[in-house]
This record gives sequence, C-alpha cells and structure tokens, in this order.
Amino acid sequence: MRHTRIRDQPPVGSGGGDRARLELDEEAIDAFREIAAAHAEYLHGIAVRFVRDRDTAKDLVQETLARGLVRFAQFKRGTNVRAWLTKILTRLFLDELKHEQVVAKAERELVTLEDIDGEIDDAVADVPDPVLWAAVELLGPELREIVEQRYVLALGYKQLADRLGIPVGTVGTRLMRAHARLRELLLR
Amino acid sequence: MSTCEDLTKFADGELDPERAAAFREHLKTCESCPDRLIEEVQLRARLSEFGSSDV
Repeated sequence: MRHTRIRDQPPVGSGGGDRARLELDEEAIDAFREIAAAHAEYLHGIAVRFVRDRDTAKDLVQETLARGLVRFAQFKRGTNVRAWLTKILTRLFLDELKHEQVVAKAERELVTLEDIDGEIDDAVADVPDPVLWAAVELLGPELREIVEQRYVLALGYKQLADRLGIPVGTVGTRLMRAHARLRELLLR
Repeated sequence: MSTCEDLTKFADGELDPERAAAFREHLKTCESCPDRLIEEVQLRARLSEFGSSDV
C-alpha cells in the first residue's frame, strides 16, 4: 500500500510551533476527501456564526479540514464525523480567541490544540444514531416539534416563530429546554 | 454586557452582531462557556443530520 506524507500546518494564530508529520495511506486520504466534501458546507455555516466575516469563516473551515485530515487516524470509527469536525472547528475558534486575549495581555503563553481529543465529554458526539433519535422521541410533543422543525427544515428562530405562531423569544426558550433535556438524557 | 445566557443563541447564530461580538469577548474569560459551547455545537451537529439515512 502506498503512503503519502502529510505535513500539518500551524494552527491559526499560534505563530507556528507544533508541526506534526503524519503518515496516511491514500485510501484514508480519499475517504477524508469525501467526508470533507460532505460536511464542508455545514462547517461553513457554523464558522459564520462564530466569526465576523465569510473570509475568516472560510479560513476556519479550511484549517478545520487540514486538522481533521492530519488527525483522521485518531477518529473513532463508528462515532459521528460531523460532530468530530465541529468540535475541531470550535476548538480552533476558541483557541484563536484565547490567543487574542493572550496577545492583548502581552503574555507569553502558548495556546495549543493538545486538548482537542481531551477533557470534553464526547457522549453526545459518540452516542449511536438510534439512541439520539430515541432521546428526541422522549421529549414532550412541544419540544420534539420544535427540534424536528429546526433541524429537519433548517429553520431560524424567526421562521420557526412564524410557522408555529409563537414569539421568537419562546422559540429560543423551547430550543434551550430541548437541548438541555437531550444533553441530560444522553449524558445520564 | 454579555453573559452565559447568550450561549445557546450564539451557537444557533441568533445573536445580533453587537451581542455576538460581546459574547466572543465573554468567551475569552468565562470558565464554563467554552466547554459548554463545544457540547452545544456537537449536539447541533448530530441533530442537523436528523432524518438523514446516510450518517
């Protein structure tokens, strides 16, 4: 089997430093390319929520996919790849914020991504699909309805409010309750 | 002044630009929100595949 060397890129805003050199076989690279194509648009949507402009969001997604490729060997098969990539993206975003804070304080503190696979409870990311859907079923009808419409139809708060005939604030409250209940069910 | 209460709306992209900017500042110093944000976005990532058969 042929192998291709992949050189990791330094994290955004890290000033370089933690370069890693990994080996991935071509089959794994092809598999990751398919994953990247399938999830890049979703990741971009999340990145736009986090950062101020689309160009920065694009850079964040690109960096996320570069990180994902390099770390693909550590991805736990059978767990959810979209949640895994989203976690990497969020870590990169948070590390960039920390870096800004560090620079602002003129401190010499190195911020790294060492804890990407670290202390965060991945129960939500790792739970099998049928368990997740069963947890959604366990929500009351009111919360289940709003979760289904939010995620199946990809509607924003205002659209949900119009569709359900409720105030936007109530949409936010119901979604917050639904997410909290789901986390409670899945992390129990 | 942004607070932890804005986290879910930030994760949903539902804060207005000023409040989102304030929440980004909040994230820099809050001890709990960064970890919570990761959990929130992972949950949304899972739910976003609701009904998809090829996940």
